[in-house]
Amino acid sequence: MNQVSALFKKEWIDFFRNYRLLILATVFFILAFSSPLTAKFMPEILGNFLPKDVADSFPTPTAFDSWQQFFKNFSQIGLFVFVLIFGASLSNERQHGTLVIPLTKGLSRTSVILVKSLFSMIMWTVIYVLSVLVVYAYTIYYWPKEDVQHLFLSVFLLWLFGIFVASVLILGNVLFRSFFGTLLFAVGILIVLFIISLFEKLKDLSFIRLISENNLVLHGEYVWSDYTGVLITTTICIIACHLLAIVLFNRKGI
Amino acid sequence: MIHIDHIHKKFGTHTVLNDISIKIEEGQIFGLLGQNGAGKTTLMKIMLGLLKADQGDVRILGESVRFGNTPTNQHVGYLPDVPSFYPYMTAYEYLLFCGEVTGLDKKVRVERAKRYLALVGLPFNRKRIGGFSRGMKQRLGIAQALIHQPKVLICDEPTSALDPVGRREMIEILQRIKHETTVIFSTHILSDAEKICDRVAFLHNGTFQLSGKVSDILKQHQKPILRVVVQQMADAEKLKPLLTNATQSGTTFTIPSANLLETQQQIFEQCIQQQIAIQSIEIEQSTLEDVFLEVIQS
Amino acid sequence: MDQVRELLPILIPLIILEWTLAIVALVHVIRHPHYRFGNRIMWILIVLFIQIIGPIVYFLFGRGERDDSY
Repeated sequence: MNQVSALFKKEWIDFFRNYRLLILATVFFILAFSSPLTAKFMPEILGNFLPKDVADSFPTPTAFDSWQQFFKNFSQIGLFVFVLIFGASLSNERQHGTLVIPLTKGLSRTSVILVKSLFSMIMWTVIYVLSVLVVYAYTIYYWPKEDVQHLFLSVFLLWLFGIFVASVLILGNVLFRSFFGTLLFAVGILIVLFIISLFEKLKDLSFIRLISENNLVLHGEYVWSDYTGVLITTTICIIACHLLAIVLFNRKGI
Repeated sequence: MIHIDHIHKKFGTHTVLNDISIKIEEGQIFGLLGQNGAGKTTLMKIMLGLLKADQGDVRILGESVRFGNTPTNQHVGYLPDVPSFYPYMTAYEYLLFCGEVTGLDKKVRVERAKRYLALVGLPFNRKRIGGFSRGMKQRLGIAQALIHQPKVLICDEPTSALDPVGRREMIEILQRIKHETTVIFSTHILSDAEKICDRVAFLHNGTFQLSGKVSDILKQHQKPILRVVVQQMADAEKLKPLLTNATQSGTTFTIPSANLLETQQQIFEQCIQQQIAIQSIEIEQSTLEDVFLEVIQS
Repeated sequence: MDQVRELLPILIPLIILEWTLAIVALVHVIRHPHYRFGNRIMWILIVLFIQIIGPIVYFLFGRGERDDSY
C-alpha cells in the first residue's frame, strides 16, 4: 500500500509541475465551451459572409448540434491531447533511467504499471466528467426546451473509449522506448479497429462504435442492450492490455 | 557478510567476469578497482540482482541474490554511476518518496530524510533536483541509498564525474558513513581508493589480480621508485625500449628499483648516449596506482 | 448587440482559459532562459500569438530540461 501511495504522489507531482494538468484541463474545457458556442453561433457567423439564400438554408441549431460538436471535439482533439500527455509516461522513465533507484529499493513493477495506468484513467475521468457538465449546463441554457435521448449512454461510450486508449498507451509504453513508437502503436491499433469494423460479421463488436455512434444514440437509434457485445470485448481488451504490459515489463532489463 | 562465489559472466563471446570469488566483511570500506570496462559495474549489478550471472552465487548476509526483484536488496543501498532522479522533485521530496517505497512510516521517513540531507550536506529548501550540479546529485544519491539504513552501501564510481573539490567532499562523506554501514565502491581513480579503503581488489582481465588490505598490499609491493619525466614524446619513444621494467604513461616513466644509485646511473648513461633531455627525476615510494600498473603490465 | 450579449456567458470563460494558458506559458518562457530549441523572442511570439497550440507546443516540446524553482 505504501508503494502505491508513493507512486500516486509522484505521478501527481509530475502531472502538476510539468504543466500536464494545465494543458489537459484547459484544452478539455476550451473544447467543452466551444461545443455549444460553435453549434449556436456558427450558422449566424457564417451568415455574415455567405449569400443570404445559402445562409437561410442552414437549419436552426439545436441541443443535438451542441452535443454533436462535443463528440466531434473530444473523439478527435480531446483524445489526441490525452495521448500527447500520457503517451510517454513510462517510456520517458525508461529512457532516463529514473526507475533504477526505486526498483533496486524493491518497488514492484506491477505497481508501477497499474498506478501509471490508473492515474491516467482517473485524470481522463475527472476532466471528462467536468467537461460534460459544462456542455450540459450551456446546452440547457441555450436550448432550455429541447432534450436529447440517452445522453448518459452516449457520453459513457466515449468515456470508455478513453479508458481503452489509456490501456493501449500503457502497453505501448512497455513495448516501445520512445513516445513516437507508442504513438504509432496507438494509431496502428486504431487502424486495425477500423478494418475490423468493415467486416459485416464483426461490425457489431468493433470498439469504433464507441466513438462513431454517439450522435445516433442521442437520436434514440441505439440503446444499452445494443452494446452488450462491445462492452464485453472492450473490457476484455482493457484487461488484456494490462496483463500483457505487466508480464512484459516484469521481464525487461532496466 | 558478503560472499561472492565463483561468478562467471559473459556478454556474447566476451568474458567479463571469469570465476570471481571474494569475501567482504562488515564495517569496512571495500574498494573495487579496475580500468574502465574491467567489469566493476557488471559485478555490482549482479550483486543487486539487476544482471543475471552465468554461473556462481552471491550471498548477502547469508541469503542468495536472485535476479529480478531480490529480497536481499532490503539490506543494500545502491548509488548508480550516473544516478537519475525525478528532476521536478526537491531533494527532500525525493528522499520521502524513496522512504515510502521502502516501506518506512511517515514519521520515520520525515525524520530520516532530514537527517540524511544534513549528513550529505544538502540544504533543506525548495530547489528542484533538475537544477542540481553533479556534485549535489551525487550527494543526494548517497542520501537516498542510506534512507532505509542498509547494511551495505554499493556505490558505482561515486567520485569519477566530479571535480577535485567534489571528489574530496564525496570521500569525506563516505568516511563519515563508514560507521553506519559497510561501503563497497568502485573506482578507477586509485588515489581516492588509497585514501579511504580498508581493503581493495583489482579487477583485470576478468579476475582479481590482487586483493587484500591496502596496508598489506603496499607493504608487500611498495618499493622505492624513480619517476623520470622526459621532455618530448620522441625522447620517450627512444627511452622506452631501454627501460624494460618501467611503466610508462605519456612522457613519464616509473621505474621500480632495488638499488636506486645503480638505476639512476644507468638512466643517466643511457640518456647521454641517446641524447635524451630529462625534465625531472624524482625518488618516491610507489603508490597503489604504481602497484596496479605494475600488476596489469606484467 | 443582442448577439454579443447572448455570446458573453460562454465567451468570457473561453477567453479566460486561453489567456491563462498563454500567460502561464509567457511567465515560464521569461523565467527560464533554456529551451530545447529556439530562443526567447521566438517563444514569446509563439506563446502569445498562436492561441492554445502555442503554449502547448512550448510546454511539451520547447521547455528546457533544467527546471530549478517553483
